[in-house]
Amino acid sequence: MEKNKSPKYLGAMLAGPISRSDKTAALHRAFRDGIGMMENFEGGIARDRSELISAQENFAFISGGQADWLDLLRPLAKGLGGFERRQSAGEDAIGPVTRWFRTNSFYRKPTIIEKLQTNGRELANALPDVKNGVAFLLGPHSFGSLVENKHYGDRHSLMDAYMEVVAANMPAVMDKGYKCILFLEPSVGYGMSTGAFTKIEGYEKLYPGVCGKGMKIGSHFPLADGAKALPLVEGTPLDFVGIDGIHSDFGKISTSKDVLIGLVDGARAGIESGAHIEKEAARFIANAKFSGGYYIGPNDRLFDVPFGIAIEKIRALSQYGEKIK
Amino acid sequence: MREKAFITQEIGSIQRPIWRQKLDAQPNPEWIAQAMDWGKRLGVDEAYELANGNKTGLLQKRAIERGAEDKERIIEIASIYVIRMLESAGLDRVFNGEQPRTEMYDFLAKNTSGIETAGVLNSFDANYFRKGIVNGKVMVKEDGIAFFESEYNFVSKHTKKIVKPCLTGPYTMADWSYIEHYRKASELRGAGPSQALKDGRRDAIMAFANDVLNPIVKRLSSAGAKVIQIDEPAAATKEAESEVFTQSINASFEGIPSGVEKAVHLCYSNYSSLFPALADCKANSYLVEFTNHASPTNFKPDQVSPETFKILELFGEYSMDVDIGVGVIDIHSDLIETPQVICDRLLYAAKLVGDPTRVQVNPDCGLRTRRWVVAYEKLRNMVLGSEMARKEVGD
Repeated sequence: MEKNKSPKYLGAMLAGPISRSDKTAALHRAFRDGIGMMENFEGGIARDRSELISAQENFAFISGGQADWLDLLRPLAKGLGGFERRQSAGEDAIGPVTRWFRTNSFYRKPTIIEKLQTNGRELANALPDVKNGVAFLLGPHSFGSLVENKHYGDRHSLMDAYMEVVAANMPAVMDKGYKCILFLEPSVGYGMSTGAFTKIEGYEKLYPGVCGKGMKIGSHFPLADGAKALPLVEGTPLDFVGIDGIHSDFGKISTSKDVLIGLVDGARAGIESGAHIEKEAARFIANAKFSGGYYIGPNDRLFDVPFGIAIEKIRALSQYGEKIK
Repeated sequence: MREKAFITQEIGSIQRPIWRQKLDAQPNPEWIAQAMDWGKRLGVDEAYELANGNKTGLLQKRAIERGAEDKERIIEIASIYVIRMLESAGLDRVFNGEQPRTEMYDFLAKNTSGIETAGVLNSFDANYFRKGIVNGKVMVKEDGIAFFESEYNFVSKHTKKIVKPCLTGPYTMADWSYIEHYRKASELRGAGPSQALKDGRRDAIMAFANDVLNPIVKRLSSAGAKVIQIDEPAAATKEAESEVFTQSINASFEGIPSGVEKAVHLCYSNYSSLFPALADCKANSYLVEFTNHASPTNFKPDQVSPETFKILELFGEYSMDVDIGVGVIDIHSDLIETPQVICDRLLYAAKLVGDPTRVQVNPDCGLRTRRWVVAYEKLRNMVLGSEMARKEVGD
């Protein structure tokens, strides 16, 4: 593949859920401790979302933050059929608390005990009303790595079943105004259970009927070297792929697709300057082989930086878009 | 060091009672009743200081009348409540449930120069933690060292049991901070972003070990602590750092006499990834989470994460002559483990370890997320299950 000669900036976008503000966290704790109302907590989530949406000026797709999901599996574990409900109370019924890779945050690990079943509306119901929205879902590889599978015979059938459920949910998600789905594959970057995979399967279930028209589908690989991760999805019908610009060797990137370049560090408190973003984007364009179309964004979810810092990082991305325009 | 088989202990935190949390609140009859109930149940002599018939108790004072000394005394009494709770449950080793501290990361960060608070992040469910930015060289403050010493002395004064102080470890402190100072230092030496991150992490971890943990550990040892536990929930989160993790534990315990048990608590991680580097670690005991994924009422080895129990085999494979604290209590569930299931887990672990006197007993992690009534029942059953296991092995 020739190195790109005519780059086309497609806009900025987030690369995963973001954190909650200190105020909303306090409202959440107050609700848990029985000294605050659920409505107040929900109000905090709504205020955070509103601030987040305002910050995404010039963005290709807008995220509502999905901060109410807590983890990317929870709405699925609560809504879809096929997951075990533990003999326990509250959130504990979903599954044991399990570390989210190498972070100080955790998720509840659900167990699949029967065939996954959907009514086609679970995802739409769990997403906020956002115009020109982007929704973040676990990619099939990470989904397969993060759930406890006691039903499907192998990882391939589990990934297929998951993507069938996602595909069945797409019409309702599109009806809600979503224009992009970004599948996140953190388990690749974290080197977890990569096994003998040479290709991540299941994306074809979204094309051409479900998402082929009017919906962009991407797969993002936080904390992975894109040069090693992108071959896993090269043969798929995805519209674009996301790379971690901090952990990738740009000179070895080779893809026929548009690329989301993760240039803002989701694990660092310092705010990237406009000059830094511009320099790194230029370095990518000069060194990587790709279709020419590119988005910019964070390298990972902005869940591991406090809300205020996340907003500042988003504004830095927005300013890059303004300059390019 | 090995007093008997299946020595029982808590990991660290116990939920702070609401009357301990809300030091600035007006008198609340419900909270006072709660304090009195537990005071009576646990035989806490100091309970009358919280509330009494003359209505002069610390919790009976109006918020405006409650001074700094009063609040400090409430915190001390909360510590005594926890000591009595752990004694009453029958534990061999006790501490104060971290009642005087805020949270495991936050408290040590506040007592370390070079760190500023960045904001809060979600841990899980409605639990959050404050994350700090390391903007300068980290160094424990003298006040911080003095606090940990005085905390140890206070607990020692109020119990005849073995006192086991716990401290958040260097790897976890660095991993849960934004290590800007150390990354920038590496960048200034010419490293690219990826290398600067690696170098920065290594330098920050070792700085926390040498300049934060070690001075505290030395002071605790001088004060007479016979067991000191370093908590490392973040251990094993980066496979490539298992060597620096091991070095940081060794550096934290540097200069501590051999008669002091150097304990490390690990939880919610892929422990296998710590090997083979962990074989060079000089800790004497590892208190590990084992029950998170298990059923509270039935024990079958195949219902427990095999990955988790694999660490027991690994200690053997690497000929590590260490004690293993087996987590037999799920700290995320209100369901109470039965003594029988605890006994079964311990016997299973003892079989894998090959020597029951090398098996200690503990919950998976601190019990701060559980109400007292649940925590107490769980700990009580943990002691009963351990007694059953002891009988089984004839100890």
